[in-house]
Amino acid sequence: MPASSQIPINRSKLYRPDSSPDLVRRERLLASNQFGVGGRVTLVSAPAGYGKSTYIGQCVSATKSFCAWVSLDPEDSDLRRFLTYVVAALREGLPGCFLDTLESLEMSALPDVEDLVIEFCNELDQLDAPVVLVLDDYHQISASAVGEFLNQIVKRPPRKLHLVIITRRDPPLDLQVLRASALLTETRMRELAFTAAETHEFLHDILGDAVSEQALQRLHRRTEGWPAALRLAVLAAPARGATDSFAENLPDNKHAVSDYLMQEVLAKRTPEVRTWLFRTAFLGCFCARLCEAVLPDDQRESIHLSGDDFMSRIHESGLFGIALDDRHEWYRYHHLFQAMLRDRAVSVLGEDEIRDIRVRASQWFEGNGYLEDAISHLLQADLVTAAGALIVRHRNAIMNSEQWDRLENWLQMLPPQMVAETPELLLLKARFLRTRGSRDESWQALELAEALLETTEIDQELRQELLGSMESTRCYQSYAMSDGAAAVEKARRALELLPDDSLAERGFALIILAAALQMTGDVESARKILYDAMSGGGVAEDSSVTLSSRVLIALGFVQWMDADLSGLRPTAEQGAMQAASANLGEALAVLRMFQGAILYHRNELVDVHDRLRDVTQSRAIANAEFYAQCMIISSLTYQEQGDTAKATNVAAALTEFALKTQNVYLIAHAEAFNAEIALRQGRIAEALSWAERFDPEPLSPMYVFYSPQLTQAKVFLLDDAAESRERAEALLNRLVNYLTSTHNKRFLLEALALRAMLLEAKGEGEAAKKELKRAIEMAQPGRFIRLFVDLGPRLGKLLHGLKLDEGGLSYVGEIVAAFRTASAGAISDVRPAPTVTPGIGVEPLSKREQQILALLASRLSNKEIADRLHISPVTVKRHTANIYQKLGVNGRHQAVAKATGMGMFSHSE
Amino acid sequence: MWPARVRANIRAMQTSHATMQGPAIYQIRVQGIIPLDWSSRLMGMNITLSREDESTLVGRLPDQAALSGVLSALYDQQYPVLSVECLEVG
Repeated sequence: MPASSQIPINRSKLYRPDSSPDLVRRERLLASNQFGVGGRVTLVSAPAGYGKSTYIGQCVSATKSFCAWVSLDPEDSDLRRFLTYVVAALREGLPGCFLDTLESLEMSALPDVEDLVIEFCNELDQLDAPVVLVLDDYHQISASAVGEFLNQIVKRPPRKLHLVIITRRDPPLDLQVLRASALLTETRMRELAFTAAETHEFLHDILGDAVSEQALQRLHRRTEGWPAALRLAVLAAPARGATDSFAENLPDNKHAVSDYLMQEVLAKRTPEVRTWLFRTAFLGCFCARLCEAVLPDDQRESIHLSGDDFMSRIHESGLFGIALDDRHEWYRYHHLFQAMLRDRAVSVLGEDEIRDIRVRASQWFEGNGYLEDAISHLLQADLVTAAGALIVRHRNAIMNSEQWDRLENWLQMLPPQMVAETPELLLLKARFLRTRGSRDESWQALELAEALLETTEIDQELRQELLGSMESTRCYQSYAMSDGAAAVEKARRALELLPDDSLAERGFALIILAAALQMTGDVESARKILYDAMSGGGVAEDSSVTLSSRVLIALGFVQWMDADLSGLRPTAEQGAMQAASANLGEALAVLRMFQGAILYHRNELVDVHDRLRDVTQSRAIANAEFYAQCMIISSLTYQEQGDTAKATNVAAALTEFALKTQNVYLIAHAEAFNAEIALRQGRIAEALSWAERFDPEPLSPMYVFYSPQLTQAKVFLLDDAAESRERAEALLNRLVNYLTSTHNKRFLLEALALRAMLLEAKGEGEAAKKELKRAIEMAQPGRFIRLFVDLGPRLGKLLHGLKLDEGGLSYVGEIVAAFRTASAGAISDVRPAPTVTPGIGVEPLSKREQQILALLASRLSNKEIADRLHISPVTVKRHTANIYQKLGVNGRHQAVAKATGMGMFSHSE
Repeated sequence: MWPARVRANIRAMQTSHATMQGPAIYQIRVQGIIPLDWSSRLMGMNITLSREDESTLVGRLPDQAALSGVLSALYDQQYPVLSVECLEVG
C-alpha cells in the first residue's frame, strides 16, 4: 500500500536541543517568565549566539507542560510543510490528537488558511492541559501563508497554547495588542547578554582558578557579554596558566574577537577534524553516514576517523554541535558557529569543492528519501539543471500517489524560466494543472513542451514517455472535442509509448480510451480492454492501487454513459474502497460522484449525504471538477428531500468555490446549477435570465453527473412563451442528435423525455408517448427513477398509458410509485410535493404552506387542518393568508383552482 | 527649565551612539505606499505618506533585532528602502 504521508518527517527537526552541561543556568531569566501557561506568547528575539534556544531549552526542562519543538528552515515557509512539522511535533507527546488537521494536510489541495486556523484552534481547545509550542529559527520563514496562519493565532492566543517564537529578528506578526495586554513575554538581547557575574560564573566553572579576575573582566568587556563569543573563548583557551596572556591578546573590537577566537579554536583541532568540520559546514543537519558521504573518495581512504568518531568528538568537545534527537544520531552546528566555519571553509575549499559537497549531500538525501533537502542542496550549488532532473526522476512516485501539491512545490523551487524552457518540467506542470481543472493552461504548457522537444536533446526513454504523455493529453483533447475515433487512436498510441511505471498517466490514458470507445458505440471493446487490464494484462504484479482504481474509474465512465446504473454500482463501490484505503483523494472524488449519482437516480436519497461526506465535507479539495459534481448531487438531494435552504446553501458554496478557482468551466457549471435549483424552487425568472445568456455550444462529452445544457432545455420548456418553446425545441433536437452520435445513453434518455414533454405541450400526444417510450426503454436496464420524477407532474401524466411490455410496465410502475411517494410526502411531512412549479413570478411556497395548500384542496376547515398538523387555527390562518398572497388570489377556492391549474396537485390524485 | 541632572541626561542621550542592545527612535523612508493598518506588524511604527509614492515610518524600537525585523518585513513585501536614520538614541 502506498505511504499516506505527503511529506516525510525528518524527526531531527522536532528535537529540542540538549542543554549542554557547560552552560550557565539562566536563573535570572527563568525566574521571571510564566512558562507553560496557556494563552500566552513568548518572543525571544536576538542575533545568533545569544543563547536563545539554550535559554528556552532550560525553560522547557523546568516546566511540567508538554513542549513541542520545531526547528524551522526556509522550506517551512510552505504552510503545508510547516503545519506537518508542527502537528508531528505536537503528536509526539499527544498521540491521537490533531486528527482533523492531519487529515487536511494529507489532502492534495490545502484548505484555506482561515479554515486551518479554526480547525487547529478547535483541536487545541480539546486538549486536557496547555501545551508549549516552540518555533525555533522563525527568521527562516519568509512572507507566506505561514505568517498569515500565525498572525491569526497570536491575535487571539488559544487558551491551551503557549507559543514560543525564537528568532534572530522580530517577525512581521501583529504583536502590538498582545504587548499591550501583557500576554506577550519578550526576551531580547539586553536580557540574554551575560552580566559580568554570569560571565564570571561561566568561565570560572570551566577554566577554574587559573584565570585571573582581571582576565575575566577583560573577556567580558571585549565580548560585551555575548554568550557565543564566551563559549568560543572556552574552546580556544590554552592550557591552564596561559589564560591571562590569552585574554590580553584579545582584540579590542567585538567583531575581531569572534574571528580571532574561531581561528584559535580551529588551530587547536587536528587536520583531520578540521577537514570534517569544513566539509560538514554546508549541511543544515548531519548524521554520521551523511558526514561520510560528503567526504571525497580519496580522502575517505586516508582519514582514520569514521563518521561515528567524528560525531562523538563533536559531542564530547562541545564544538557547537546540537543534538537533534535523543539517540544523538542527528546533529546540527550552532548557527553562528556554522556561519563562521563556513566563511573559513569557503576560503580553504574553493567553489568546486563546495559544489562537490552539495552534490554528495544531495545524493545522500535523495537516496534516503529526503527529496526536498536533496533539491535544495542542488539549488544552493546553482545546479538548477540537476535539481530539475531530480524532480523528473521522482515524478512517477509522486504522481502515482497523487501528491500534486508536493509536485507543485518542487516546481516552484526552480527558476520559472527554467520550467518554461524544459519540456519534461512543462509536462509535470501540465499534469498538475490538469488536476486543478485548468485545462487551457495545461494544454498551453504541453504545446510549449512539444515545440521545445524539437530543439532539445533528451534521453530517448524520457522522450518516449514525454511523447506518450502528450499523446494522452491530446487524446483527452480529441475526446473533449467529441472526436471519439481520433481519441481512441491517440489513447492507444499513448499506452504504447508510456512506460509501465507511469501508472497515473497510463491510468488516465486508459480512462480516455474506454470513454472514447464508448463514444464510438463500441462498449464491448471498452469493457474488454478494461477487464484485460484488471486481470493483469496492463497491471503489474505488485498490482498498484493507483492503476487499478483508475481502471475501475474508466469502467465507471463507460457504464455511466451507457446508462448502466446496475453495473456501475459494484464498480464504484470497489473502486471507492480501494481509493479510500490508499488515500487517493482524486480518484475517490470521481468514484464518490458515481456512488452519489446511483443513489440519487435510484431515488435512495437518504444515503446520499453519508456516501458523499468524505468529499463534500472535506475542507481540502483533491480534484476541483469532481468535488463540484459531488456538491451538485448533495444540493439536489437536499432539494428533493424538501430542505430547500440547505440546497440553496450548497449551491451557493459551489459558486463561491468555482469563483475562487477562477476556472471558466467550473464557473459556468456552478451558474447553470444555480439556475437548476432556482427552477426547482419556482424562481423561474431567475432561471430564465440565466438560460437566455447561456451558450450551449460547443457541446462537449457529458461524462459527469450534471449537464448545464439539459437545465437550459428544462427552463425553456417550462416557460410558456412561444419563443422559449422554439428555443427548447431547437436545443433538444441538437442535443438528441449529439447524444445519439456520441452514444451517450444516460443523457440521451433525459433529452428524449424532455422532447416528449415538448411534443405533449404542442398537442402532439401520440408522438410524445412514442418519444417517452424510447426514453423509458433506454432507462429501464439502469432503472432510473429520480430523473423522471424530477421532470414533474406533466411527465407523470404522460407515463400513463404507455404501450410497454411486462418488464417495462413494472418499471414504469416503480416510477409512478415514486411520484406518489413524492406527493404523499408533501402531506405527511416526509417530503414535499415535487417542486417544479410552472408559471413565472410565483413565489415558492414553504414546506408548511405546501402541506396546508394540499389540505385546503381536500375541503377541510381551518380547525380541522390545525388539528391534523398539530398547530393552532390562528397559525393556519396566517399560512393561508401567505399562500393567497404568493399565488396572487383572494381566497381558498381561487387558490386551489390556481394551484390545480399550475399542475401542483395533478400527481396526487 | 529642566533640573541640571535631567539636562545632563538629555545631552548624554543625544550624544551617545546607538548600541545593538539599546532602544532608539528610527525613521525609515520607503518607496511605495504602505497600508496604514500594517503598523501593528511593523513594531507599531507610525506610518505616514510623505509624498506621492513614498512612505515614512517613525517609531521607537527596542533594539537592533527589532529594526532588522522591520527591514526584513519591508524586504519580504518588496518595498525598496530609501533611507534609515537613527533620530534619537534611548
